[in-house]
Amino acid sequence: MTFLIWKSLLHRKLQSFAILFSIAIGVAIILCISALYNGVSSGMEISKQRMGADIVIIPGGATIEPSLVLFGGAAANTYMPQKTVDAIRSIPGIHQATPQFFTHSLTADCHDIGTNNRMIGYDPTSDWVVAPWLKKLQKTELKDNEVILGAKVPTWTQNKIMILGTWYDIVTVAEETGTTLDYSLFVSMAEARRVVGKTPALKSIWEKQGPPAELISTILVQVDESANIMDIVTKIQQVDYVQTIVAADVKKRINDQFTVIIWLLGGIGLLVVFLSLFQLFSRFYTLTVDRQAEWGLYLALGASSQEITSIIVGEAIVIALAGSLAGLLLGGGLYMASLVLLKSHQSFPFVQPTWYFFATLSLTLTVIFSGLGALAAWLPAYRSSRVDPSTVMTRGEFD
Amino acid sequence: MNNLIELQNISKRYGEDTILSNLSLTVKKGTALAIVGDSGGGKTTLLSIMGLLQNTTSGRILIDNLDVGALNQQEQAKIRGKYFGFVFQRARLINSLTALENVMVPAWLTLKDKTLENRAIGLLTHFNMEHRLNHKPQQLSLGQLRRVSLARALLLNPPILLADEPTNDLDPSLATSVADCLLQARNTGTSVVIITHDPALAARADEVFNLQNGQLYRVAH
Repeated sequence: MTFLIWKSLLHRKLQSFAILFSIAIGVAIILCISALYNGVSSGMEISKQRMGADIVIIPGGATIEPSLVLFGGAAANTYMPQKTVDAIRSIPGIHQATPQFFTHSLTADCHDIGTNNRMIGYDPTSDWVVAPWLKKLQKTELKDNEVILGAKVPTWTQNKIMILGTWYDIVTVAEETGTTLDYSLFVSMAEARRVVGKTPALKSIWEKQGPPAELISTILVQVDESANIMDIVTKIQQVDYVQTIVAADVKKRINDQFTVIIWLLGGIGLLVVFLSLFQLFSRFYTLTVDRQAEWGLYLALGASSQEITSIIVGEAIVIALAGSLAGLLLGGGLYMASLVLLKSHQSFPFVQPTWYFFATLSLTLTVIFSGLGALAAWLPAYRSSRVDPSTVMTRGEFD
Repeated sequence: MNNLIELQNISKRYGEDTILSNLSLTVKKGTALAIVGDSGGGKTTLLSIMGLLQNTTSGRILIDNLDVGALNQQEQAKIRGKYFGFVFQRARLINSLTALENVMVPAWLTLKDKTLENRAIGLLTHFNMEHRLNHKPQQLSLGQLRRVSLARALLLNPPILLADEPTNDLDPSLATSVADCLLQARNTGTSVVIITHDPALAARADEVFNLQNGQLYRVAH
């Protein structure tokens, strides 16, 4: 039976490949969309849980894109005075605020880890971002020669990393959060200020903005549950020349953009899937007429109607299965290319889906498409298996 | 001799047209029977009824003393696979398969057996087709197609061979060879029913019937 199915498919190569290809495209689009959606959803969720800032305050002169502040790795060497933190803390409705000091980690030596990684000095007395990682390590704070790496910071050595000419011990690599934290290296604020203060390349900045010890880069703010966030934003802007980024707004905007993309691409994917299944159905439906004499011959030679059904449904399943597998490979490539393309245009929270997710999705898509393929061929198969065996005597030549 | 096929009072009507009318026929084991008659007279219909490819309007069919009218489609398919070898008026080969694979189809469908390949090759060789084993039907001539079809019918040594104008499209020497092969099947106990317009072939059968107006008339020879 398998041999007859295989031979029939090879005999109708072009037809078989056309359907296989359209199924592959449908599966590829669905795989790609599902993986992107999963990555963005997880990123959104984890960033909400992990970053925990309702408002991010940056210096007024910073020209950095809000989404890049929250979810990217780029650092701007613009600063505001340390005293701004106290002024912010005094605003009613603010639950807590913690300052951070950051700069880019570019060095001129061979251990350069790139410009898109931000060195963050955190304040151990008020921090809630680094604290959970330290707690896991049963530490209260980082020593001056210690660093925590974000999940996406590249390293060339196992335990050490060079930042702006100084070697640091890597205490741990944090889990992926889908936020700017993934591209960051965490040291104590005092250490961050010390190391940038002695870096000749940054000297001009300190001459212009003041000594690093009196500067901060950003303030993360959590507001009281009952507070009106927009009122607080207005009050923050009256304190100093600062910009405020409301995390929820940025996330909502990104979420909206992705929803449009996902619906659009998902719709196209579903349409392609529908078309390929319709093609499969119509192919096997026309078979009931085109290949009646062939089925009649099989019946005359002793095949049962179940065997005819098996041949037809078998052909459909083989095409759907091969199309699904090709689609999974194609979808993997499409996913990676889409991710690179999307990331080059927009920073967004993204957590790479797990292998388990991909394995489950692949299996599900394969089973669904093979099942739908079988279903599309079932009615034609049912009709074909009930042809009168005498058609073999009366019908014209068959292909 | 055992009766292998018994047709009892068979009638076949298509709407108002009566093709076969209250017809009876017995085919004994190991005999060859030829049916002649005018074109469109119902010979192919009779053959397809005998081979359980088509239902009768009325009457009984016994195959090896088993009343097949009571069987469902599934059971009839099994009987077809077990008892019959068909040589159709047109060769009826599967275009996606080679000549050898076409001959093997009955073995795959009924016995799920691939070990009969040597016999299939032997049959094709007997019909001078040894150099065309791996050719597809579209690469074969009409005569070659018919020989492949005949080899397919003979592969499983069926108890009954039903042949619808088996020597059509064949040159005289090949027609003789095909007729020899069909009639030799009697030696192994196979019953052969041949529909033909060829008087020479009909003359070699044990019994000859003329189908006229839906009735069979024995022809003396």
